Amino acid sequence: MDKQATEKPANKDILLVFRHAPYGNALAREGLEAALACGAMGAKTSVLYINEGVWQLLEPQDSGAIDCKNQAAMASALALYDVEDIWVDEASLQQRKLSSADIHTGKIIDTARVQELLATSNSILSF
Amino acid sequence: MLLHTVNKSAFDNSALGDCLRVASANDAVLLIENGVYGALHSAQGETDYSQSIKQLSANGTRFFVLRADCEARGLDDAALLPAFQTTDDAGFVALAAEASAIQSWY
Repeated sequence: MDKQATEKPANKDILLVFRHAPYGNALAREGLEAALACGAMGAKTSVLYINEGVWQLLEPQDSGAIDCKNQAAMASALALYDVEDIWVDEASLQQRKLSSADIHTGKIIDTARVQELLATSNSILSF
Repeated sequence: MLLHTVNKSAFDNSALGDCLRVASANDAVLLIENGVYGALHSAQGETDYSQSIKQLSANGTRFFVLRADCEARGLDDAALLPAFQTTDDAGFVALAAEASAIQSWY
């Protein structure tokens, strides 16, 4: 096995931005799958839930009757795949009358911190 | 510098508004595809983002529209907000190369 492949690639931190609600289309699921894959590959991975994306964190979710994988359950796997930084945009929560009590994971940050996060990421994947 | 691309019309999608809320002074915002409708100065009411565009532009944020997408939709330069410069595919590539990362709003 090539040793290189198991080492963390330098300067490859990836931010995944989730800005769509779950279940209506495949974006939320595909975004999470991409985040888990990035984490599993050893890239320094963080995710940001913003705009409609914050609905993905609402609990409890029971998607059995619509034949979809539970997004909240899938998101709880992020930490297991070394995705340590899970950020949630405060203004998006407020706009939807949600608070930290409504979401199952993530650190809530203000707009200035969101701007800083975007400005300092060297790759961004939008879902 | 972050490059923001927006490809949805401001009249039926929050992408442009969401982008403008987090765009910073040294960022560039490029409207492409149906996103170019967001550059019109004739927008009224809640789809009118002219004030925040003007404000951001005054602070240094650069605004662009893709010329081919405007021409395809019959949008004349005169119909666009003064903050916008038109650019082409080569300009898009140059902006992407200049940017530290690209955030795509769709």
